[in-house]
Amino acid sequence: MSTDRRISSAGLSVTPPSGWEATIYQRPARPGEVTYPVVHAATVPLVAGRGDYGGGLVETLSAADVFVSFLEFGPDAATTPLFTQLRAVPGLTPDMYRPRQLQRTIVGQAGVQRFFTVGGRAFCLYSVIGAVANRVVLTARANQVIGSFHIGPGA
Amino acid sequence: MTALVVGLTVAVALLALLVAGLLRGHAEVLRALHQMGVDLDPSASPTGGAGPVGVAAPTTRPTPARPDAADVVDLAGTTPGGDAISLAVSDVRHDTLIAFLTSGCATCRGFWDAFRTGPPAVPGGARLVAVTRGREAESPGAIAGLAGSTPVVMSSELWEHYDIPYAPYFVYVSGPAGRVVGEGVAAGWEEVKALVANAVADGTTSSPARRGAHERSRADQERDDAVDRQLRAAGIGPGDPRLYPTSISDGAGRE
Repeated sequence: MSTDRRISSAGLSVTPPSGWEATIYQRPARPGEVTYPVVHAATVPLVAGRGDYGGGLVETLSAADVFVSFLEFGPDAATTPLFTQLRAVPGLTPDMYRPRQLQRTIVGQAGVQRFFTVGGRAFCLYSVIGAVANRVVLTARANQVIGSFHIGPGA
Repeated sequence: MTALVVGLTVAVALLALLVAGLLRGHAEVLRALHQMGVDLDPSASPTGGAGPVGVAAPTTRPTPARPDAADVVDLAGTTPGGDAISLAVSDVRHDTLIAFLTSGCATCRGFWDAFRTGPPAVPGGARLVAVTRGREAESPGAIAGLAGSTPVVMSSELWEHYDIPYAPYFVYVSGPAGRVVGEGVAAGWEEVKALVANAVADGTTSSPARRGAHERSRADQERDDAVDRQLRAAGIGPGDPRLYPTSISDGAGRE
């Protein structure tokens, strides 16, 4: 079986492991608005109409599923303390996942959010696991796709 | 006299064009039949006569360049909107019906019309994904207008990998098995449903009912865990003989 699942766009690339789906998209900007790329990867189908933070998708996660997103922020953010504390794509540990770090609390799930900068580009890593009880195994799965995420110069 | 000759010449030329057109159409029909496995050559008949024409059995894979049904790849490409995307078809719990379509073929138009009102229900609960050739061969704007909300991946490489002979062509991939379990051409959605239903009925793929035998909802799991906790609190562990009363009175007597 071919393993060429690598996708790239806007100077970003990700290679979803087997059983994962991924997309790199950028919402169309409305007048006066600037939008930036978003990366989604999940072990469930990427349903249409989901939000940037996975709203509409995280509800479909079973106890064995993981959702990972990278959201780019503007260049101004890249110089702020929130983003400059980390200067590499962060790996995750099981204890980082907390039920209270979800954008919207869903019983049994847990989330994590980290901010970082690479090459002058600012990102938020946001991940949700389907069951906090399985966080050791699910964190390892999340790190598989996080490790395949690469950042180059912006488009 | 000259006018008559000129008139006849024009008439003969028009007739020659007509005959050439008919011959060309005939050749195209023969070519299409040949691709479908029909051979009209009498010498090809086992009896040597002009008996019934042979049609390839539906189970015969019409794509000999893909001898291994397990040679499936995830659907990586771009969306009509320009997003990079990779949709998983193997090592997943769901099945996928891949519709290889073009924007130009008349038969494909019927499927696009059906999809535009919303992805139709696929037997077995499979996910429907349309795959077109890449941006070098198809107009993303045209595809976006045709597809509606149906997921679309644009990639000529996928057409080559799955060795798609013509459009519309459908490939049904079992996610848990990671293999193609049904494929073929279809003129209408009813034929596609029959193709998929056969694959599901053959037991070569996972239907929601079968998946349900292996997967449990969180509510069910939590209920089972609560029961286990109560049993453990009562001193009853796995294999305890009290879990297996030989009669109703036996079980009641132990209360």
